[in-house]
Amino acid sequence: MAFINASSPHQRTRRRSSQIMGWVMLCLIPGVALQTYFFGFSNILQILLAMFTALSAEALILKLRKRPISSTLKDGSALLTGILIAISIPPLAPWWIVVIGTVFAIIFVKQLYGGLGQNIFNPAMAAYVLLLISFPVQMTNWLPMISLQPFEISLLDQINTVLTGYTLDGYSVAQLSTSIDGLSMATPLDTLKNDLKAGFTTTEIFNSVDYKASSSQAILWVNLGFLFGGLILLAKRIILWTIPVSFLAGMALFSFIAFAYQPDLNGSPFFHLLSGATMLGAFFILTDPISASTTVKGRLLYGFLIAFIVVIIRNVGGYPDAVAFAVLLGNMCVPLIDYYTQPKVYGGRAS
Amino acid sequence: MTDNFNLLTDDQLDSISSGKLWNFHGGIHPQQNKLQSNQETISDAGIPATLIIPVEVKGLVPEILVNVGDSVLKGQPLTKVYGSLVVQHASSSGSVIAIEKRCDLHPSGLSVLSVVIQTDGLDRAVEYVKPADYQTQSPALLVEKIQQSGIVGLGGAGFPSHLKLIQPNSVKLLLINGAECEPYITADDRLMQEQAFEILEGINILEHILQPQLTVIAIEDNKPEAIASLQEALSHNIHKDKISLRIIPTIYPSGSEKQLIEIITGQQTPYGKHPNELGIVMQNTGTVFAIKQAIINAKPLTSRIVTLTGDSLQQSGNVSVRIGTPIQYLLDRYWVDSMAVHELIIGGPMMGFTIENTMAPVTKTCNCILAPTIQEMPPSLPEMPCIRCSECAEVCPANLLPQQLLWYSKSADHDKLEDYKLSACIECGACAYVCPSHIPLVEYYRVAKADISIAKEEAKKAEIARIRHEQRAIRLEQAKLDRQAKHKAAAEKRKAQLKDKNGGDDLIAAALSRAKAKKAATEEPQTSQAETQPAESKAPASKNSAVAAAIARAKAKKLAQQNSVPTASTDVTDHEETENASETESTSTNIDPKKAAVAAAIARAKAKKQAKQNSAPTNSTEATENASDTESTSTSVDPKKAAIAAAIARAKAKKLAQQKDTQPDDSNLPIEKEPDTEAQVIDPKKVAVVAAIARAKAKKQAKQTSSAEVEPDNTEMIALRKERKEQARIRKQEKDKDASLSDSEKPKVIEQSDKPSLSATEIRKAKIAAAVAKAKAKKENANKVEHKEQQ
Repeated sequence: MAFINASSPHQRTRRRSSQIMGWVMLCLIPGVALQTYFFGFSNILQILLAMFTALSAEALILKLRKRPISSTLKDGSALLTGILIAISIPPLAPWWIVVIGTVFAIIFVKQLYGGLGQNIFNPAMAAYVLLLISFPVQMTNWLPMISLQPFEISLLDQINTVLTGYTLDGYSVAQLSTSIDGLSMATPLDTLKNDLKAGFTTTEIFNSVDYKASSSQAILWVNLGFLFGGLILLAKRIILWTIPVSFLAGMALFSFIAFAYQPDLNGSPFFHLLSGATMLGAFFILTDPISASTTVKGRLLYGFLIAFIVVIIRNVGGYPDAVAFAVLLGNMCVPLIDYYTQPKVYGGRAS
Repeated sequence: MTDNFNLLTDDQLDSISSGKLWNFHGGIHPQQNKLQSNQETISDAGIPATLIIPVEVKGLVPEILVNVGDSVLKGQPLTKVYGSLVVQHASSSGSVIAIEKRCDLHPSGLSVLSVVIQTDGLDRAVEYVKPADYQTQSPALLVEKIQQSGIVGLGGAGFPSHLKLIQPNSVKLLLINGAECEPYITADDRLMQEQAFEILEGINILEHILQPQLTVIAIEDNKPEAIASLQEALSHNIHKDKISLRIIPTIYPSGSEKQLIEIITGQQTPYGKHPNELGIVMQNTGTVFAIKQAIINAKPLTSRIVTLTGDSLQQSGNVSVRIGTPIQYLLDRYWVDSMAVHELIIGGPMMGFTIENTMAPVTKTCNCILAPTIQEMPPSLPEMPCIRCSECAEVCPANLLPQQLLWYSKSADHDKLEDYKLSACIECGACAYVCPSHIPLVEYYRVAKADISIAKEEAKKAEIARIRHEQRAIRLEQAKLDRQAKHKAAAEKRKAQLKDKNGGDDLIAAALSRAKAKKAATEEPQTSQAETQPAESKAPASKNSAVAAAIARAKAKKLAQQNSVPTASTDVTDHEETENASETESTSTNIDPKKAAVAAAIARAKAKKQAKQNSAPTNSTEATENASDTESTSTSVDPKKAAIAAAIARAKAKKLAQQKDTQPDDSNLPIEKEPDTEAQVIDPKKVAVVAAIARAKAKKQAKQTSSAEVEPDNTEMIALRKERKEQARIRKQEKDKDASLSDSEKPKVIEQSDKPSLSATEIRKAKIAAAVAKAKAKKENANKVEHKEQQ
């Protein structure tokens, strides 16, 4: 009888990091399915491309860093990063957009900081910000939902557009995104921002043709899809309630303050909660444990802080949506937040 | 004294007795796995062939009462009380076959001194004398009896029980820990089921000793049978109104002392303190049973209940095992599947440790032997990077931030570990249990804790070494000062003796004052220059004085020849005055470098004295040193210069003689020179005497000293010869006039005349004096002529 020498505890939960990642990916399905339903199959194409790129980039950098490759790839963190980037970018964006973003996220934002668990910034959001700033045209060409599109774009059209920039008939994405009456069709947040600049009030905008053509319904549904997936994560205790709750409560609170102050110039809390990347951010982006705060109080603060920044940028700033920027700013504050929100250790409480 | 304690208040006790329960932070719900072992009644494990009873505790070895070859009875003490250590007893009858180092039941597997008993199988016990009713005995006596009975905490920590019963302040709450939160272990569960009445008797004893205001038995709700039997026993107990049974929810680690206190009282044991800070004493149910056995049945602790469980054991359950029974004996007796078992855990799966040597004995802290199969407890998966998911922080019962502690443990940042209160970690293993990255967090913390204690130990040693070194330095410094003081005292004594020998006069002081006067004379006109550029300024100064001396001599000759008028004599004294000041200097430079060195030494001594008054002592010493340096250097140059100067002076003197008519016209001069002339009147006589004595001395010296010091200039040699002749003539006349010398001048003359006989340096001085005298004699000659003419 040769007995092994092991350290306590000898009994453990059998849950693994890769299972957590797997659950997060599974819970993305409702939102992704709705996104694909409304905006076309190219969404899936982008996701597959991103997953492939993510694994390749991770394998490459791990080889360069002389780290175990297969066991690290199996943890699923690279796949998840790739998927989140693909979800964030316009479905008909050229293929190199998602490739550049994913490679940057994996190699620069994650691995150069030391790999899983060491990165300060959320890789997907850092990549998104890089793409948005570097390729603003490609990154803002959101087509309206399929039912509103002037031309029917087949699956092959979509594949061709992603790979070459043009449909089989030779239309560019910019042409595709222009409606018959010559209006450019953007996301609801884009439309709101542009029309407010043009001097319209929110009531006018929400009733305008523009807004209705901006696939606001589709965006709302996609947000609901992500909310559903996020609730499953909460129920499974894959993520903790603190960040989603504080972020969504913060969004509601801060947008309500702005709305109550100037209803004609600011969107309602309902509008803010169900547009843009709010739900995706609340359950899938902010909850990335590596770049988020680790204490209970810290997480509440972290959610509130990001919500505040999102509302400020959406209402006052130059970009229509702001989750990516806000998350990066929040990431920067994490060490400080963590330091000042340490819990009282047992015995430190005054009796 | 009690003010320093955060004792539970009456309000708090009221809310505790109301049955309210609190929560501690975190906690986990691992698989219980208790059913495998809690179904069967406790059986006796039998008597092994050998018993190995460790007597060494943490390096402390008490006095052993038995020798090899002695026969022992069950319950016979093997050791004496040693410090706070409890007594160890033989757990069965037999003979002592060895007292040696044997493998201990410890994760390290290290050997400790043990008494090895070859059992005879008869299990004869010492005669237990039925003691008097404990209620009639004093608590102190009972506490001592508990120590004598070898009772330690049987829950796992093994803290000597009697120490918990000696309380400095009043006990508010007695807490009986029957939580038994570790999975697999059912030793306390079975004991409570089977021995509830005896446990309550033990509680009564503790109440008698501690006099608590309230007693609470805490038990997890996963032991319904134990709860039922305790309730049954409690209903028959005489103190049932003071004892309450509290059923607490099943959560790991509710059985940990600190966490159970929080569940029952809502209070936390202050960081780094013991529960007695709150007025709480906690005892494990097993310990309470042992106390009852010791006090009422007079039976010392010779066996304990051990849970034998795990899928590799074909028979699992709770057995009463004699302390010292080798693990291997139990494994054999309870049919371990030696093919299936892959690890042997002492204690539960959460906090237990693995052992490799199965000959290790069962000790008083061994509450469970877990022999799982590999399927039951698969080895830990490979460690993955921490993803900061904070699951560990969520479950930590001490409310720590385990992921931060991991980070700083890996980087061995002891200060940060202190900040994050690593020492509050109870090593319950909840964090490692939930970690999705399979990081053995507790292992990291144990290593870090060990590192910290080593570092602290070393820091302590270094501190002691530092203090020792500093004290040594102080001691050495003191010895040095003492030595210096001693030397100084001795020197003073010598000086005093020397003074006595020399007629009570302080010669050194006199010499010093002279040197000082000299120095003042030479340095007065050029102090500022001498300090800044001594080498440059000093040489011209001595040149000037040489020139002046030469001029004076020439003038004196002329005057003697010309027999000039009294007005001229004032003129001469004018020059003489400068001569007096300068001649000593010029002659000293001409003749004696050694003397200059002496003068410099004296000057330095002076300067040191002045240093006490001066703001810049080093400057002044340097200045004097420099001055003496230039004096000595200028001596080599001077003779030639002096010759040249003499020639020039002579030429000048001739000119002066031609111009002398104009000098008396200066009305200021005679007034200024009046005191000087008086001094000069006296001077010649004195100088003559000195010169005469000095010459005599100098002649004697001349035999000893080298010719290098002979006057270099021919003109001066001739002048000297003339002077000697003249002075020989004068001497007789001077003797008559000595009486008229002023009192103040007299001692000086005597001193000067005395000096040469004293030392070599004084002889050198005498030579200088002679030279001075010679120069003076010239003047004297002139003056004499004047006097004669005047008369």
